[in-house]
Amino acid sequence: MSDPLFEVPRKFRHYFKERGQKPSASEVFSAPVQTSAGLDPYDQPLTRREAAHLFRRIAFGGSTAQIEAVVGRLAPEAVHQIVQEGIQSPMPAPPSWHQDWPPWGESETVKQAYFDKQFGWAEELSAVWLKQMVENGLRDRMTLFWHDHFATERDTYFYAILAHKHLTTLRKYALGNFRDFVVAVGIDPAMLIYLDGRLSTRQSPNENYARELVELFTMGQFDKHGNPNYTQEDIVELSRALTGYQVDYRYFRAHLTQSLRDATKKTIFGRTERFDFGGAHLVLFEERAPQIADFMARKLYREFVFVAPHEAVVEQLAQCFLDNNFEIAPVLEALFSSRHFYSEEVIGAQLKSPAAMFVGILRTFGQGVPPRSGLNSIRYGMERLSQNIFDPPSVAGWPGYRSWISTSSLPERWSQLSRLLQSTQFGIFRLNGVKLARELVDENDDLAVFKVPVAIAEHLLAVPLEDISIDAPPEFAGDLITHPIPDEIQNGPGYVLDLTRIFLRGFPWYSWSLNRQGIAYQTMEYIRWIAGLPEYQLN
Amino acid sequence: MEYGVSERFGSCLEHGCAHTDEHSLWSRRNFLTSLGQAIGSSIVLGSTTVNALARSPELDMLHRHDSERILVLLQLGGGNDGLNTIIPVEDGYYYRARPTLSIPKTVALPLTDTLGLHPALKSLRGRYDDGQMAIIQGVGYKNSSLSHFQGTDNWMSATASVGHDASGWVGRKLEFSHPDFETKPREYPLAVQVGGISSRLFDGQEYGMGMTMANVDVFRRLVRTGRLFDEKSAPDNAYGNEVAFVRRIANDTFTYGRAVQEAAARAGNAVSYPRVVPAYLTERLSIVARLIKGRLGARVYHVGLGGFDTHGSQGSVYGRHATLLNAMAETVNAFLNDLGELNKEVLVMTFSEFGRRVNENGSDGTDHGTAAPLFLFGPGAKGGILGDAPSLRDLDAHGNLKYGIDFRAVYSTVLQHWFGFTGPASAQVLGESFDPLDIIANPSNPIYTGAEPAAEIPNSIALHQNYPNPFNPATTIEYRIGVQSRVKLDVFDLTGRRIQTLVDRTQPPGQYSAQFDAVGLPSGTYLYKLRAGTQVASRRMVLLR
Repeated sequence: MSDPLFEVPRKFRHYFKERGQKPSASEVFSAPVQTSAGLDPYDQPLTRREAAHLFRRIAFGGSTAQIEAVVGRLAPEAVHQIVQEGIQSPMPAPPSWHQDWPPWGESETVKQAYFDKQFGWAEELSAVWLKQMVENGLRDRMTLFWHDHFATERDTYFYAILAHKHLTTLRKYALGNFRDFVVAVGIDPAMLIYLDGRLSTRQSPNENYARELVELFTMGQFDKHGNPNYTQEDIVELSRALTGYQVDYRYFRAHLTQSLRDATKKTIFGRTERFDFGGAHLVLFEERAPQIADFMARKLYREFVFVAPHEAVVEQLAQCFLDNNFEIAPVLEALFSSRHFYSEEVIGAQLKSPAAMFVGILRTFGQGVPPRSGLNSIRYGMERLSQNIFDPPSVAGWPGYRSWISTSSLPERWSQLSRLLQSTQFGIFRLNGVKLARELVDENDDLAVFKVPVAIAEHLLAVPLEDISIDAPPEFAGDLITHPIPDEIQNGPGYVLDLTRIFLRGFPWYSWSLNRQGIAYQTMEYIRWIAGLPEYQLN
Repeated sequence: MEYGVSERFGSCLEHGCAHTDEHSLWSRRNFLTSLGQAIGSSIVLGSTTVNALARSPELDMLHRHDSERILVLLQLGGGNDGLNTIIPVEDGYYYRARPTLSIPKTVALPLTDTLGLHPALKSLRGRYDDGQMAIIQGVGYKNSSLSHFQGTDNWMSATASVGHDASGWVGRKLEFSHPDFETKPREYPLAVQVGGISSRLFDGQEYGMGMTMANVDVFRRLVRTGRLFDEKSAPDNAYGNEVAFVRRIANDTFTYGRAVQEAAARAGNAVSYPRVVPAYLTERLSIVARLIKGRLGARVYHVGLGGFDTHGSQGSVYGRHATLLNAMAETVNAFLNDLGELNKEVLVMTFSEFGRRVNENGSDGTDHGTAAPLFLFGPGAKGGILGDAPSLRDLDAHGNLKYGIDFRAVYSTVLQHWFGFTGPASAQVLGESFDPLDIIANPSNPIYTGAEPAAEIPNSIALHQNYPNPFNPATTIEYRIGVQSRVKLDVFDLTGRRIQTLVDRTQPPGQYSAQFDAVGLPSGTYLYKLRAGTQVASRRMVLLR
């Protein structure tokens, strides 16, 4: 097949939008956390708050059962188990259309029909992935991280099978070896199209992929001391070494055309050899191993700990990456088991991405996944919140951090959370706050009325409850002379009384029970109130 | 309902010592600075505190120059069944295609010899007889994919041409009619969606031109209290900084809310709205009525009524579809009554992503279709029926109707005859020229003229976000021009005052950068604007000292 291998119908031209300028990384307004705690293992049994923190960061959130299974255990052992489960969880079944190859030789009508199907297929793929994020936790949390890291936009490669194959690559290596991962991504057909690798030949090497490979995917422009990691000559030579791969649009697969490959000598990072695709990657990881480890350690730290890098911890994390020959899982285990990760400053110091918000609330409830229509609504909601799955804004991925929250996205978040919690969009699927309350508190406890609102707030919020500013909640209703507030509550933290008053909505505390009429509404209203707090946006 | 904005948090603006505290915090800070990172697709706020009830001179000036006309878009979400809305009562094909769902001629409200109205629309019959209801038949678009999202995107963006795909036609309309928006941010939204998830409808090519009032709860809260979250009490640590950031964004969000609150406070509802299912429609439209009567200043409102995706339980004379049509009819009728004399300035227009399949589907419903009628309501509409009912004998490959009128011709008519756009101006917004249809009672005089034909607006300039941003004191601005032209790059403050001209010369095509040094200038948001020939782009940047 000659190039161009296919002609996009005029109708779809605008899906192949001009690739924009890379945005500069979103500005960081925060200083690194102060703690001196490093990557050494945290040696205290995990509290409930720490276990919930672990699940929020490693797996979008955890259900009551998942959190309780970890409370009281030591972090290294608990994290090891979670990571191993992630590695061993089976790959999901491919979509039914994963081998519906395009009908190139057929009539215009047939080809058009195939084009038309792509929208529905792509939507299905996103919706099913959301479901897998809720069900699988860690592995799909990592897959999303890699989708952001090795960003591609479906707007440019269009076909749903390519998106499926790309997702499969990301998922396969999500907890694997980073070096193998980089090689696999380089010949992933979606990536070959997105960054023009398929157009890069011996006769006219294209620098696009080579540049992003070093700048965004592995080492960054500069090392931590500000020295350049590569020269323009390195990129030119690297791009020559990567030539020859094309995309066969009949089966959406990469294939190597020897006649297009540059087999001559190249000089990369000072070494001169007849580098081919694999050889170029080897030299990358041999000559720039510390830089790659540092770059990726920073990225993982930013993603899973805090936006501003803590230099000492990043250094330890990078060393861990080197010590383990670029295996990803040991680095994650070290990070999520570390004293640093469980330091008080770090807990709740991230802003939720739309995925963290939606997948997080579903996992926190642990009550299953909405049907396809509901997942489609969530996917569309995420698009409105600027996290359109398979379509990050640029090759640099989503800017993240404070760019997630703006004067238009914040009310939108409230609106969408409200709808999810009211379940008006999800047919028979309904989140059950009373069930959650029963899991959290023994309903026969005399003080259950005070414990339920506190336990729900603790389950849903990452920040300490004493820091949420609640003023002027309604007074307790009813006859408080005959039924005084118990002393242990009166003398306890102020937020217990405040949250209880908000939870009760004017209902007398002494006649309340989890069986009273209207409790479902009362509980969900309270949860909607929590979801409307600025503090709820923190992870 | 304590959702979104809680009256229990922060401090009340009207009372108490906390008020002074908040107020000083609010005014001390040019609060646009906090929006620096959010601008682009987000709401733009005024640069002063919003507490004056009187309209600003600038607003009055705007209104002198501008027509007062308002458009209310009523979206029938899910795909309204056009054939069961305007019924071809003499067409045997219709009754054969729909043995259980068809509306018998005997109960349809007669419009012409061959057309009848669904009986659930009876409360609009009077409007029709008074010439306040235009029915445009057979409206649709090319290459329908029958997907809800694609269909909705089509109607929202109103274009299939390159370069427009992410924006909405209303956003582009407002950018065109309010070119000073970038230098004179309004203290009120130009477009308001009440209820539901926001769409791209209000997204311009450069800015978000409207706001979505997330839900009715938020509106109630804003109207009742207008309270703010406390930005200062957050703990001084990593998560405290992020909490303070979210609270600040929440408070900024409420500034438009305050304009909304003041507008709502100036007017109430003059009629009692009917009880319909779903009840939210009356809630939403009654809010729109208050905002219009309270002279909020918004020119376009968007309200959704969902549930038209009637694959099942559609019903015939009664049933789900009838219930929805009844809700629309009764509520729109009450809405126009509520507006009183003001309704002369308000045009209500319905739209839906598609109509439905001609043949019923065997499970008391209809599947996704194509062409369908749409309505204009109000004294501004020229009553009657325009366009032919699509033929039931000449269907496309999927058994769907072929459209007769491109939906963008309807938009073009609204732009030209309702808002006073010239033909070229309308073409610039819609990407294509359309002759106006005869559906507006008193066409507006041309107010907005297109500078050049649509063909000459390719995306040949690019203005990139400055870096670093926020900055102190210097920053770099990069841009690209596609054709040789006279290039001017200016920096303005938010009052529209030019601070500095960075570039003013003829340049060949290429990528350029310019330095801006803000020595001696106060912290705050600044605009930079690139003009190359007839093309203009602008962005915001934030100076933080």
